[in-house]
Amino acid sequence: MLVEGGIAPEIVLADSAGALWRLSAQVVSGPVVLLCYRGHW
Amino acid sequence: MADYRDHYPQILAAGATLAALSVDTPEQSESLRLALQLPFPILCDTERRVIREWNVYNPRERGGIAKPSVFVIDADRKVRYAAVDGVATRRPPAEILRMLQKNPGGQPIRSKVYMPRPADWFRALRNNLRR
Repeated sequence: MLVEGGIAPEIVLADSAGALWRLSAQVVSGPVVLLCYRGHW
Repeated sequence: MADYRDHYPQILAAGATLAALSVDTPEQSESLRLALQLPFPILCDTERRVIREWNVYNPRERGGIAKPSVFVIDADRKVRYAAVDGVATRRPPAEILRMLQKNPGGQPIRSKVYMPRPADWFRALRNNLRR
């Protein structure tokens, strides 16, 4: 479980347009809000 | 998603960025992004690796999907906020925005532990002598 104050595991994923997205690079410029959702059904 | 889209300018103004994540294929995610006109990226965790590592994996539906959840991650990947919902609901964006505005730029939240100052020690000493 991710606990507040802990360290989140790295994310390296492609977005829907094919661009690579890396969490550790994103947080350099400010906080990142990440929304996980159930997806298509 | 649309609710966060509508708060996106304010989230940016608070110094933060936004990304969504699901197990959908890039094609499914891209059509959703275009249909809802989302100004932020949708990450495609088709292998379910991230949602397992982040412990938001729901294996009981459609081959395994993400539990609806919201995270705020600061510099060095420090978790400022984590909310995982059991069903389809999610934390409202206004709540997340208030937190970002209260603490912009990912500054570490001050410890709530009270540190005694010299005056406190002096008062304690004086009270002890009086007894």
